Amino acid sequence: MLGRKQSLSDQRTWEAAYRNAATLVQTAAFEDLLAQTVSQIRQTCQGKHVAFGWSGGKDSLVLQEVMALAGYTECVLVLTYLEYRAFLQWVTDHMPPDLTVLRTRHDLCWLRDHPHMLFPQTASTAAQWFHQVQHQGQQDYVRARKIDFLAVGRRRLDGNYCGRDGLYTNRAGITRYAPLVSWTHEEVFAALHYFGRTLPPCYGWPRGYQVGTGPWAARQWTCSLREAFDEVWQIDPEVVLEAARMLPSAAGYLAVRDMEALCADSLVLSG
Amino acid sequence: MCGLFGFIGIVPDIALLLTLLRLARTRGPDALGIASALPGRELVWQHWLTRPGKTPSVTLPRAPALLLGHARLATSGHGALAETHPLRLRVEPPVAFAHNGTVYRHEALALETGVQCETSCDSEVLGQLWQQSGKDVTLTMQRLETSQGVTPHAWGAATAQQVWLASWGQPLYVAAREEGRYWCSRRFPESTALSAGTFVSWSL
Repeated sequence: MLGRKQSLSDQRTWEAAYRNAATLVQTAAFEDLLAQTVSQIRQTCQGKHVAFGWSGGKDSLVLQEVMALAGYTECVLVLTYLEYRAFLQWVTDHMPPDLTVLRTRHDLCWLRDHPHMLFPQTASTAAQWFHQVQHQGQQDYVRARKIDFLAVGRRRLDGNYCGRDGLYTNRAGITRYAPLVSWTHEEVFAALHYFGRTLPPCYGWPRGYQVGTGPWAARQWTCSLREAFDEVWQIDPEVVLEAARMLPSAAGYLAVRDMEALCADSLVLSG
Repeated sequence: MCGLFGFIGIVPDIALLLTLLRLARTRGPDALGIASALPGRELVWQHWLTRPGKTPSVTLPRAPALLLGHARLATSGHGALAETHPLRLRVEPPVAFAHNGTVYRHEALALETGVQCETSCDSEVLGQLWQQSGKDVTLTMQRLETSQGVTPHAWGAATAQQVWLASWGQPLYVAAREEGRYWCSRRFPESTALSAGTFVSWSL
């Protein structure tokens, strides 16, 4: 069984689990798990105004399906202005019909003024991203819509805090509910298979399963700025080129990259 | 993802039109646009860029015979008013075009088909293809699918007297009332979904 995603940087292990999901979790076992989860959702949410958070990530795609089976379709997606274009295009093509999209203030100007937030190197900085984007956006949505419970795709095996029985209220008074709290990674993959859902492009990108969806600037678990920009460059060079107009670190990365390319050309010529 | 909404008829129920605007905006937080025509008049365009926490002051025309609205989630060009829908297709008479979906490789598609675009917005290529086809919705969507396979789209186009709505995998709900017809990307009271792969056209 796969462990916590934070400790699994090996993309091939995740891809193998995704491919073999239907073998690892057979139809009957999956149907039992699904029936049990949907029943628990109905029981927990009865009489409540419930919506769910949708990120486009693998867990939220499964959440979308189980919530729909339980009769809940309202959902929210919180985006910054620092998203990959390919991800936004995928969202356009795959969003749930009752989705509300919110933007936060995080753009290149904001990133220029908060350089320590670029490519979080500590758990605390990563948590700030999560708090400022997901938590704040979801809180605004919950309050505006008078939502009692916001269901989320959090799972214990992802290292997420899920409260007791998947239900918890934070200091701001927002109650989150994690119906998939005990699901394994393999069960999530099996659900994607049985529901016929395709994953967003980010899972095919460098360390895609470890990093998941989210703004490019919040990319975690890189060893250096150089490595982080290298990964983003592989995914979408336009992101780095645009960032270089605003961020000295991105401009510096491009300058070094250009210099190295020049040196390599010189070596070929002199060789 | 974006939201479409609108009306064609005698005089709209402004409260309902505002509800449709609010519903459509849940799908498109980055910009809002309206093309509308008073009875017997030309189309007029209004565009607003939106930012988090700042609601633009939107005033709907009081008695439009036709209104095509669009709330945009920008996949590129967040600050570009020129890319805000409804786009203005430079033909005679002028046509408003509003789209929900993605035209992949749109620059290449424009080159292959010889359509001329004034913006870098992918949707303009689709609008121009529809113009090029003689406003043939089916032919336009076939051309698009030949280029990029089956992907979901919904769009609306309007002149001052006529509107075309197409639902190709993206949701579009319509309702007929005594005063006219309304539409929106999200379900609203008394509305029914346009079936996928269909289009409608209504005239004043």
